[in-house]
Amino acid sequence: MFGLSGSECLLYGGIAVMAAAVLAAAASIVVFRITGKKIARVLEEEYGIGTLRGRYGQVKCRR
Amino acid sequence: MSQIIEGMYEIQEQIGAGGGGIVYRGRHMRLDKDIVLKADKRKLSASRESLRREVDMLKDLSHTNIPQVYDFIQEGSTVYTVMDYIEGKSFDRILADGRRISQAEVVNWACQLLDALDYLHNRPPYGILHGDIKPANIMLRPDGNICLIDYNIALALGEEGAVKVGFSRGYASPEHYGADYIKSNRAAAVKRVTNVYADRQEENACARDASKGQGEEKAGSGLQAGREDAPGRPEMQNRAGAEERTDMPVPTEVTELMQEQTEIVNWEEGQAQAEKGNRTEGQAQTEIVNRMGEEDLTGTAEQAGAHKPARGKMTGMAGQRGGYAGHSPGRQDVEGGKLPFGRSGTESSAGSSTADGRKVIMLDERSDIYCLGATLYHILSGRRPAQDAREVIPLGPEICSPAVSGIIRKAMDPQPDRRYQSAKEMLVDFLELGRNDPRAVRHRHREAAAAVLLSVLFLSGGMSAFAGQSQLKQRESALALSEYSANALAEGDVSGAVEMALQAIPQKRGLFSAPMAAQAQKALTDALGVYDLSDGFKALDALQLPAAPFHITISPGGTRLAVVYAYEAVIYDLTDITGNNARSNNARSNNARGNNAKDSNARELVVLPVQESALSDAVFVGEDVLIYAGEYGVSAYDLAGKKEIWTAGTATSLALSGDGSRVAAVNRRDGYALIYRTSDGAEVGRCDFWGRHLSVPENDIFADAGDSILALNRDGSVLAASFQDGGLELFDLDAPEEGIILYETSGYTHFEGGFQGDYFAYGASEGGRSVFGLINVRDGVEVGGFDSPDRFLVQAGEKGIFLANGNLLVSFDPGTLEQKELAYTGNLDITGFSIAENYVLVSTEDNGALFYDSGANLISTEQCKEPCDFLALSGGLGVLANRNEPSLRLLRLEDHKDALLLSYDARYGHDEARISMDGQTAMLFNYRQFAIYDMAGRLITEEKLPDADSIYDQQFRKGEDGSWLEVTWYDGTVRRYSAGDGAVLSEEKGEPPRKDLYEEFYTEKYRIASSLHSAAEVYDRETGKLVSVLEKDSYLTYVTQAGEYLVTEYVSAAGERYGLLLDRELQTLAYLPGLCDIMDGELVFDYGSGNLRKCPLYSIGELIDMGEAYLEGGDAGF
Repeated sequence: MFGLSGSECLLYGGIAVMAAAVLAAAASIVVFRITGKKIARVLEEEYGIGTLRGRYGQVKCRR
Repeated sequence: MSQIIEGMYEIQEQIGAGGGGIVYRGRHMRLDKDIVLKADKRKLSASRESLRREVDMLKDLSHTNIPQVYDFIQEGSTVYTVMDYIEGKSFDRILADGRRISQAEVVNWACQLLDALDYLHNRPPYGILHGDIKPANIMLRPDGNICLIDYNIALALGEEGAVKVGFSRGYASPEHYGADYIKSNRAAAVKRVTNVYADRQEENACARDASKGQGEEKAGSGLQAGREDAPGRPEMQNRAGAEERTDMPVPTEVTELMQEQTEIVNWEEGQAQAEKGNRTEGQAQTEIVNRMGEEDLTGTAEQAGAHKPARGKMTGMAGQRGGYAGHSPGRQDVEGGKLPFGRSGTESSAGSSTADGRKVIMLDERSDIYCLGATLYHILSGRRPAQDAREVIPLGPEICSPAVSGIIRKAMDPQPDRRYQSAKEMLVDFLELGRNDPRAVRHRHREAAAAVLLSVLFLSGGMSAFAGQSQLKQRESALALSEYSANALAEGDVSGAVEMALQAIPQKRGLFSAPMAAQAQKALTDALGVYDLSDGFKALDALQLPAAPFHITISPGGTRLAVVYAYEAVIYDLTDITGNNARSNNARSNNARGNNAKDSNARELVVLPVQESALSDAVFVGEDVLIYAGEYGVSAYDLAGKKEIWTAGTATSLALSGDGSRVAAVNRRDGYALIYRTSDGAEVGRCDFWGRHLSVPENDIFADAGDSILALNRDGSVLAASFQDGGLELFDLDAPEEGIILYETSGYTHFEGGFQGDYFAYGASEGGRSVFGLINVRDGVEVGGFDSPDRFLVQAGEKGIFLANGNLLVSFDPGTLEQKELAYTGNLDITGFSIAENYVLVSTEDNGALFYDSGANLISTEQCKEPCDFLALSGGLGVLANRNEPSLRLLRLEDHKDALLLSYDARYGHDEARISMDGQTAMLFNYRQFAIYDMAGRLITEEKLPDADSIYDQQFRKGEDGSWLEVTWYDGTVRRYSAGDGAVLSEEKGEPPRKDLYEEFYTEKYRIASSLHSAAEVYDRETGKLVSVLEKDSYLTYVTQAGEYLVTEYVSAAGERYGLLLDRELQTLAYLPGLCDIMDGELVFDYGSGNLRKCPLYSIGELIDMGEAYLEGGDAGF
């Protein structure tokens, strides 16, 4: 394929897939960060939890 | 009012009053701080210690959301509790003001309350129960935080006896009323209430009417206000599900009648009852005694602003609607006499009956949680929840989020076992609101899914790249190993070549294993020599030596090989290799080397120390005795017995008589030779050189023993010696005065020669001049001689006199002076030779080693990288060595008789040989003639082709209707001759053919175009694209597809015919010298030696097996 041997296809194809995955991951991070902040803002308005969690820390109890 | 209490606290104003007492605002006179003094009106029948304990417990409380209790003062009959003054507003005031409170604020405050509750519930030793959580008891400070107040009715859990307990109408949990909603007891409760109903119907009618208008607000989702709606009222759904709830509708009347009064019982009274009654042990709960009666239940006191609490009177049915409490059946004539109630969540009763029949009900943290839930319900919705917990309408989405509604619903579950079991648990749910929100959950799931997907993608890519890289590395390694294998084979190291070729072939197939490189298969094929069916001396193996050799010699019978190097002599047993039956051993003659693995061993017999000189010599006396220049003197060693026979004086150069009875020994530059008897080492003579010495340099480690003559005649009576000064003399050991001086002195620097019978033959050379002389020793006459600018190479011994000069090697008959050609090397000069029975080994100036048969026919060649300084040949074994390489190359005579297909007259001239389609005949032909043989080797016919000079091309064709030789003349005539009997099948006259012998061949995948003056080109049949170019310097004659392989046949520029085995990618898998045809998947070879041979086309698996078998057998020897 494209004048490359099977081994070369595996190598370069694999590198290409990895690069695509990294780029997609970077894009996902940005997108999810934005949407996550948006949701956090909405939840903060709705429940006002953000500051509370800091006060109470990791509250654990057995259900 | 300015009363001073205990001289420290100044009462400034009354700010509230309630069932628990009066609340004053005051001032700590010393600290100048606002405080609250709560005057408790209850009778202090309890001991001071008990009261002290209670206050001490409260005094130790320290929490941001709980007021600090400072002191407890008893003055007269009044007990004052001194605590923090909390600024702000109570929530009942806030609610009354109609302020809108957001859900976020409520959640924030709920968390603070729960934190405070958790603190209280976990106070040692058993925790503290607030017992009266309601909006009025929660203060909102100016800083926006809350404070939970009013502990006068706080219950210390675990204390024996009950304390005064009151509950606020509408906020108290069902337990406060003694209500129990465990299913199994529901019927009993209904029954009990039914019984009561008949008795008390009229009594309670007024109370029922009075409570009608209180707190009946509708919830956003459609609360049904009327009592008459009771059967259809929506019940509060428990967060854990409604499966445990009874679905039995309760008649309105029963519901009403289930409203019981709860009495505040004195602590002391409770203790007394505990002593008398049946208390369940180990109850870490607070009990309240429930009794039918009409005593008032006062509302709780508030520590708030000017708001006066509603004083609810819980007599009969009054004030039971719209509260935070549930119903309690608690009748004393309850069947079974007990109220099943308790903390454990089982249906067993944790209550008990007192001596006078009153029922004991348990309160615990879950009661506080219920109260808190009801409080939050009120704050969010602006209305009190239904007093009957089952009738509480869940908060709708227009009021709060479903998650918050769910938390409150769970907190207000009628069954304590289904509520939150601790404040912390409820707090966690609040804190997790955001996290558990569906939007957040969805977002997290999407993040996780993206992370997983991209991780998988990345790992897949990584694995693919790793696999590709592994494969490429393996391929690179395979190519390198293939090259190393080829190099090893070129050096004669067959086992090394096989080993490296096997390493180049991947062991297993898989994603990380590269496909096998064609070069690897070719290397293995070449190393094993499976497709070389020609007779001749073939590389067997290479022996590694500790140092470069000085001298090699083979025993007369060819079974022993002695090698002298610095400064040892090693003797090998060659019996397993030569076996004396090499050519007749059928088991060996199949001749893939793998089949003869075990025969490649040259066993090392012994290592003997020798003189530290490059002149150190060794000679065989027969097969089993070696006389050598030992470290301690000339020694004889018995190879069979593995012991020294004798040791004589020190010497380096040795000469053995023809009969093996005498040995002459000279030590370096000594001017004499000693003669020993070989049988016992006795000195039998001495020969003085009269002040001369052999041609030996001062530093004899660089000496070349081949530059001098030291030889004994047949019986050891005449010693020939050449000297440093160029002298050459024959010494008669029996009559010293009768010696022959051939050269007194001369300029010759190199002498070689020996005795053959009565003759002494010698060669002498210096620079560009060389002479050969033949002396009749008996007569003392020179009978012949030659001059030449090229060096004469002379060997004389019992086998005869052999002379090489330039490119010709001859045997010389001293009697007749006739010469017989033994080898002719064309345009290459001979640099050395070794003569054995029936075969001759010749080294040439291009580092080649040529083997000739007795007819002076070249049978095989071997190319070396270094000059062949040492040659030895015996029977079926040849040994090559170089004075600079610490190794020996062994070559063994191989024949392939078992691969014989048919024999023909070796003298019949032909260019090609083909097998007919039916396999019955073989046709040998060239442009002039053809002959047909049957498979038994009988000649069927022989024909001359007419006008041979005008023949353009010949092609042997195989088709469905037979085989034929198609001859094309330049004039376009095409004639077909039958391959069966040579008859003319047809003759046609066509267009004159192209001059370039253009032809096309077709396989499954390719179209191959071949022409005389250019390399064959391969085109893909589907796409038409050029795929590859085949051999550039040869003419492609045939292409045959054999399974997955392609066999291509060529004629080289030198006229040699060979084939190449190709894979599907047109890479070379094997070189097929002498290939002439393919028949039924077998390769047919013609070496022009009078027979056609065949062998199968080996698969890679078979080749690997052969290679491994070769190595297994070959490892034992070295």
